[in-house]
Amino acid sequence: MSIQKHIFLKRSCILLCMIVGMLLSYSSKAESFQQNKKTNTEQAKPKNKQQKKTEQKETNTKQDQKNRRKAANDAPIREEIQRYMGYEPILTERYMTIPYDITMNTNMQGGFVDTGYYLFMFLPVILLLGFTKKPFYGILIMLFSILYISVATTSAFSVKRKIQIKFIVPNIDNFINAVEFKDYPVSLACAYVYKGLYKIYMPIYRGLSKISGPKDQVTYPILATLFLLFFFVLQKRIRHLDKYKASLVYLLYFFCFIWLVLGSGIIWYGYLMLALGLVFLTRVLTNTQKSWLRKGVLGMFVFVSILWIMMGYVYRIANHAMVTPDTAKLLFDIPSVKYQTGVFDRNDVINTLLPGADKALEEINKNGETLVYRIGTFFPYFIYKNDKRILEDNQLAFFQKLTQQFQNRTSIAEALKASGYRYILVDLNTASIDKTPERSLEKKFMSFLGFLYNNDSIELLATNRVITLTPPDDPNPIYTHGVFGNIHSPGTYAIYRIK
Amino acid sequence: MDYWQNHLQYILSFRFFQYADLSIIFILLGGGLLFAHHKYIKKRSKDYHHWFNGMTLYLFSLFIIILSVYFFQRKVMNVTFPLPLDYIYLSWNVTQIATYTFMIVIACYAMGMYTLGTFRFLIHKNTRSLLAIGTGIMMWVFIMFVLGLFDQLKWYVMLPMMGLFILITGKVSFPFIWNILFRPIKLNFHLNTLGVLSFYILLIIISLNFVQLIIPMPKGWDSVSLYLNISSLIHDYAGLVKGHQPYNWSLFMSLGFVLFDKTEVAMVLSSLGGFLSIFAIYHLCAHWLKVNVNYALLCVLIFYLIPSVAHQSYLDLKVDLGLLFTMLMIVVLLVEWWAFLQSDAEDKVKVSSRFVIMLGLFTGFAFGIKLTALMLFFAVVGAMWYVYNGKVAFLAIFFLSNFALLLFKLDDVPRLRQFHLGAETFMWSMLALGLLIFSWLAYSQKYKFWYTFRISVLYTCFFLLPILPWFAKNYVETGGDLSVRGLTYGKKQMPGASIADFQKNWEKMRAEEKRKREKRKRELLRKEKKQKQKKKKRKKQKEE
Repeated sequence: MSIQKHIFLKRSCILLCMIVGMLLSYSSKAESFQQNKKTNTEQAKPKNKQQKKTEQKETNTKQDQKNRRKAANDAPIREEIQRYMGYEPILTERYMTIPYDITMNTNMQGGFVDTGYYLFMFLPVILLLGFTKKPFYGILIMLFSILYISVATTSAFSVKRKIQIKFIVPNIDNFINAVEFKDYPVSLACAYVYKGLYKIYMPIYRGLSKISGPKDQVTYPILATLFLLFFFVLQKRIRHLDKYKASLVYLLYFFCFIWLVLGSGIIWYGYLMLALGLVFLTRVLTNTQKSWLRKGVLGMFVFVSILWIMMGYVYRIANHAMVTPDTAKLLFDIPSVKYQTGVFDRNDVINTLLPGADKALEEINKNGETLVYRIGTFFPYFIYKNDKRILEDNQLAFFQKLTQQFQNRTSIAEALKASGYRYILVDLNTASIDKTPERSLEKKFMSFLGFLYNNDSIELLATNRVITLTPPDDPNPIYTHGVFGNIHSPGTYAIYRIK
Repeated sequence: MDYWQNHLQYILSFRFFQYADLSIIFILLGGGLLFAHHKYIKKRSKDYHHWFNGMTLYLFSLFIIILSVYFFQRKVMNVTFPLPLDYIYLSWNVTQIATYTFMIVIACYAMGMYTLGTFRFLIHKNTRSLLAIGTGIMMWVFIMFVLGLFDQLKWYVMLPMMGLFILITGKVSFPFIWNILFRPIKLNFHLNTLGVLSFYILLIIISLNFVQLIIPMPKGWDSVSLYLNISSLIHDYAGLVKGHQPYNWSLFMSLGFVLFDKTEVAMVLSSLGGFLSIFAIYHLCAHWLKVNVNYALLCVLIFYLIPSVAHQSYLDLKVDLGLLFTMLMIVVLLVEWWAFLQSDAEDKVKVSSRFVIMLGLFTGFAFGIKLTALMLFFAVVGAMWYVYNGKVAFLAIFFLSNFALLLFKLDDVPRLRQFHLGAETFMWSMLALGLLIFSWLAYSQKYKFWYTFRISVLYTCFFLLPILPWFAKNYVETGGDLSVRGLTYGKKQMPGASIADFQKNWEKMRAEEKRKREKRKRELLRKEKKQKQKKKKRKKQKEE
């Protein structure tokens, strides 16, 4: 080693140590400063036991209040964002099961979160294809896949059916005993697989329960370690690629990792994974190289693709809706087609899609200076200068504060009025997005409905909910628009005016 | 099996499938197309080949739209015979919106070609048009941002500017229009039944998506409450909307309102990102990875049929497909850059810097569409370090990125930090590992290390450049708030939600009411007194 290099190395090491030392000392200083501050204040006044106890109580109450306030502030994001990721009680599992969850739609259901099965199905296949001559890696991948799928399926089973882990097997057994194979062949086959995977999962669960929980210190290190391990396998798998192509594989891999850590399982934050993933997948699976194995894989890919195209086409024709014999006809919706063919104008479409709202919206737009309190709904789009006039409280965090501050419904309405609010827009299905185990949004919404119910300080301007005025068995039912009562058609919105 | 079990909607869609008749006609049409392909188009028959161009494809998709609408009317609206007037109106509507959108795309292409010409890029002809459109969108959004600052986002400002640009760059713009609409499409020699059918089904899906965008109001939750609402507000104010995270794509979408006062065009522009992404995916498959053209088309179709993507293409119109297109442009640029590095060209260092600048600008633009694009920023840096310095450098970037993500508390945005008790320790260990590898690299690959370091800095600078205007806007809005949140989200004009203010206003109102009540009481008392006095007076008078 030349002297220059030696000096350079020495200096670099010193510089590195200095930087790390500075940063560490800064963080420890910050902590010790906080601690010193505490002890100084404590030392300043010698106290007896009683005083100490009272102070301890006060501190605890303050801490509790602070935590509660923080939880209340965080609640909207917990309800709105974290629902895509799920609320598994073991944090490590919550992250690890994301790929399975987004494929199987464990936490959120509907077309908007459906990503198809391609990437999840073929990822192990394309890895295995690269290790036909290195069986050790192949076995390793298969083993990992089985372990992974056991964790993912069991966790998903528990989350979807809202049952504890220990009740999964009895639940599956009940199902197996209750149905016949000819009626539910797919479900029954899956049930047996779940049961088998459960046995593999249990030791993992016991291990994870010891080191992880709702909060832990190990999830980030575990994720980083898994990244490194998988990187090791990946670089063996793509060894034959030139560094330029390999760089884009790593780009995708790195992107996937960051998405897993930061994306909360929201698939549209990671569309690039779908697009690039499919590109790479197609490249690997269609590369036949005259080998029977590869040709078989290609055949499987084409078969699965044809199946997917048929499924995708049929589901698209059903307009990605909840499919029933009636909705399956709705390739389009009637007001839109009438608009496209010149039968309807803009107002007609709005009136048909949001019946009864036009007059209320007209009134809101006429009183241009008044403020609007909004819990969900589509209406802001139709309200002029809505960015200045509307207070959004979709997850009712602010309403919760209002209920804590003001003692009764009348004073809440008065407080809103005093601050310039004249209208309340409510999405009647607000609570439907709540997936939290504690059902926090549902509780808040019930409290909000309590505020609306028979409140003399407000009046209903419009709603598309239909209620029955007559008893349920009445041969001549009388219907009317209203929010509370025997619901005939649930509707979506209500608009109130504060008197 | 597990997927089916968890997605019963597919099974139900098959069970209750209502459009067998329409599908049979589609199958017959597909058969006709296959026949035409094998008999005439593939052989490049002189008589028929020139009929296969963009315009005929458009007319064909218009036919698919009319057919679908007619079958819908038959099933749901009890229409037995086709209604020619309805279909003329429908065709007019579809053509009008398609033309408006096409005009905007041409303006973007013109601007993009001009910009790329300025940068003197050596880009493969297959990607040139796509990159030009992407660059054009970026440049127009920047211009709109500047105009928006002065409340000049008006049709009589934007339309002449766009028209002028098309005229100035007429040498490339007019041939582009001709090529898209009338130039016969050259078919790949390897195209077979799978490819033709994939293309045909893709055309059906695109047509169905397009017609469903022709409605006067968006339907999806996010589009109504956020993305299209911002576009609509931009139109209302003829300027920028205060607050919100940077909204580059909403600004682009607002062209639909600003130029043509049409919600439909704004919605199509939202969906345009997905449509353009199709071309990018096809390019990456067929031209970069040399996948057989049939499988490349199949890959594109598989992607476009993904319900989540389809959902954003016609139901809930967000900006994520626009973001995807921009991200794919970044990948395409990287591919072009790598291809350039592999070539025998001279002056690699200088041209590489241009690529880095362009990459930075695109990443910054993507970040201005949605903050989640930051994920790609780290991934691109990782890829660059891998190419120049190898695997170990990639790992160093991985460690340092983790450090940065945790330092800036990006995991706290979705409120996930609270679950990680040892995040701080993990963060510092990531830094230590990253720096350790970096110093080793600096020692062992001195020249390469500093070169990559330099281009990384250059990339970061140009990444920041498109975001700086947004940061500046937010800084001014917040009255000088330099926090990450303040700079990225600005200050909305939404009415304040301070409980203390509510309490104060309420007390004020109560006091006011009390005062009024007392005043009223006093007045009543006074009136009563007066009346009593009057009565007394009257009594006295009577007595007198």
